[in-house]
Amino acid sequence: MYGYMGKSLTIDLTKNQFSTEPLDRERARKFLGGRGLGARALFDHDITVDAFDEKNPVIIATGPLTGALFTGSKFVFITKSPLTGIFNDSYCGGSFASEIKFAGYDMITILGKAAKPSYIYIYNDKIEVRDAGHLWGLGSDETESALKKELGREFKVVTIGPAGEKLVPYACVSTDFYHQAGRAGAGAVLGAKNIKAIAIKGSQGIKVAEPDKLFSFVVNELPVMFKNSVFGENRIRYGTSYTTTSTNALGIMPTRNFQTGTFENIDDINAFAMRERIVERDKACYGCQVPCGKYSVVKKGKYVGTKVVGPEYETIGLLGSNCGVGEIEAIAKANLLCDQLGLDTMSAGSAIAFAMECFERGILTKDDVDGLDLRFGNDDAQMELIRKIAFREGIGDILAQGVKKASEIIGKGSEEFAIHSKGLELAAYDPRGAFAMGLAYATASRGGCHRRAKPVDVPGLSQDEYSSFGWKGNAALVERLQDFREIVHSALICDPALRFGFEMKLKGLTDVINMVTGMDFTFDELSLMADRIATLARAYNVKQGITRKDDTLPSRILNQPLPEGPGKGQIIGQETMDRMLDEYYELRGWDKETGVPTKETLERMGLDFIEL
Amino acid sequence: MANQKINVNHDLCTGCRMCEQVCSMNYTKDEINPQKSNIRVETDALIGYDRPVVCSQCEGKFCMKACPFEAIKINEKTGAAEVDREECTGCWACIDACPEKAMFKNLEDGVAMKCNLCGGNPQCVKVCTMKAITF
Repeated sequence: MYGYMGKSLTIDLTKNQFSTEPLDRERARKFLGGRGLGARALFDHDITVDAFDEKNPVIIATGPLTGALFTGSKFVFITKSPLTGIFNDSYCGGSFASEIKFAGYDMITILGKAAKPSYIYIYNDKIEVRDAGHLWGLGSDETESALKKELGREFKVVTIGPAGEKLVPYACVSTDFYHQAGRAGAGAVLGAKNIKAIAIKGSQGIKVAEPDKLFSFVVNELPVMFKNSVFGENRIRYGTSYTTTSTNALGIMPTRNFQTGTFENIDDINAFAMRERIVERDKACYGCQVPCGKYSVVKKGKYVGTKVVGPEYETIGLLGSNCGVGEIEAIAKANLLCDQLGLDTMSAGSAIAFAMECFERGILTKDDVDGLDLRFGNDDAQMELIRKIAFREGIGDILAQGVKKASEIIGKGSEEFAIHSKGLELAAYDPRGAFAMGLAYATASRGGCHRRAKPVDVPGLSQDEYSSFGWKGNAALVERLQDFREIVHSALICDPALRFGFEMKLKGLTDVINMVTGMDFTFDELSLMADRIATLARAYNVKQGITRKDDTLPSRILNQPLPEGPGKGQIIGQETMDRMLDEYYELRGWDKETGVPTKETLERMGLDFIEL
Repeated sequence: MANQKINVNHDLCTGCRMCEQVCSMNYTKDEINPQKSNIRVETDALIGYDRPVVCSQCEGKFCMKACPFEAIKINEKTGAAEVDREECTGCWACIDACPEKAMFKNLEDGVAMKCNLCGGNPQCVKVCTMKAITF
């Protein structure tokens, strides 16, 4: 079997048993790998249980392209999210993904709960659940260092931090110190299973169907495609921070909890400030020719000596401008703190911004927030709040539950500005200056996420094809962008590397998938597969009670205009949202009234094992 | 022609290990496996350190001198020292002798491995975006 290792591993922590199963070829043909195969595998388990129930599996998946010469390998944690209660697929770069395959597995399923704090040791066929008493309570970075010292530096390690142990619903998983599967709480689900870390090493090779063709494509053609790409160039020089230049100009840079989309101190936190002031070295994930990671060192001020890979754009937006913090050095420190404690920088940034707005409006008093001066821009208070959230102390325990639940607890009209969709805090693009982004947030399968489609300033597309301030064309654009990522996230490689580095479309990707797997997929087959995987994730969410009413945006974003910038005065409004949703459901074959996939759609896609 | 070699500037290395993938595929012909690469990137992720380790085709030829079986030979075209897989017994004397730690064990076949400059047309340098390795 080419591209695949042909085997998946199941670890039952309760019974302390391990088993392997051969890869189901028919399933691979229908769901490819990564997000697709992982989502399909979720349906083999009880999908009605709570996220922290030991029956909720954590599925760690790779895809046929992962580590197979083609660009940027990633892996994904698929599980029910404790933050949103719905489907969560949380991706991560670094070098862990390929190591899973070198150890001989396409997928690892973790079930049950260990009797005491443990870590999982995997070296090819040797699998052990080992005591992690000495690691419990340590930071993510300290845990990784300790395990590499114990086992050897060639082991790849994923860890959770104290936030994961304390079951903060947006606790992340870290690897290679600075890479995170950030969103929607895979770290907390591992914490609930008493799993502090997984260490893996392998010595097996990946075989591909057409080695000569793939080799020649990667060695001779890709570097040329890549050299001719302006996006690739910016991506290498500035990493994701390059996005600051376009979002602030478009007036969609979240500022002070999405009160505006233009940040007055942008020059101190943008891509140029970052490159000039803190970036020391360009870093890449395993097998990627677009080194967008930025190893940064703070050289002056109170955070001098801070070392972190990043901050990424979303972190700059949500821990920076959205909290009114206007110094790249302070953002780097907050980023590192979140990494060490095991918190998603995005949800944490959004929760802190929410608390700051509550504070400035008098909804939360100084007494409510443990005496902190929570005005926007106070980075000292921000650092303290990050710590309090991770350890669930005082106000931190409320904010640790995410802005949806926190606003329900705090009340007093704060629900209006709790910036989330389906419980997942929005990413750092204010849809009021790019309406299609509103549809992308509302329909992403894990809630307010930017990674399934990012229809903002789409290269090569004119406003005739979609509308920044209207509904026309947006549903088709979002569906198309989502479909491309359905395949990328299932093949499992990095989509920004593709988009920015190689301008590659699904057609080109089809060729590469065939060179690796030899499965002769047609373009139409992969297009249908993309639709199938989108509908599969939707079906999972429908089973959790999600319907059309949940495909929405927070009140501020839906009903109020931005006060300045290109989007000034524009209101998305329910009517526009409804028109985009109508069209989107129609394209997907989901019922317009309910947003539930129809029986015919499920049948057409070969998903008739699901009853909705 | 002597002294052809892969030049390394480790300040530019991003740790992507594309060189390892490409090398292993070229060496094995059908497999992507960093454990069968003649170039290896030494990494310390915590401090952002990456360094490609590859034979510099040094003047000393310590590997050749250490080999009890004369299994390491000079390619007359490139001047590179190459492992003769037929002659190599896997005693690892060359690996102990290499001052650059640029020789490796192919545990599956039981032979020593080192950079042979792909017969004068090294493939790894072609995928190095940042030009950390050049030829």
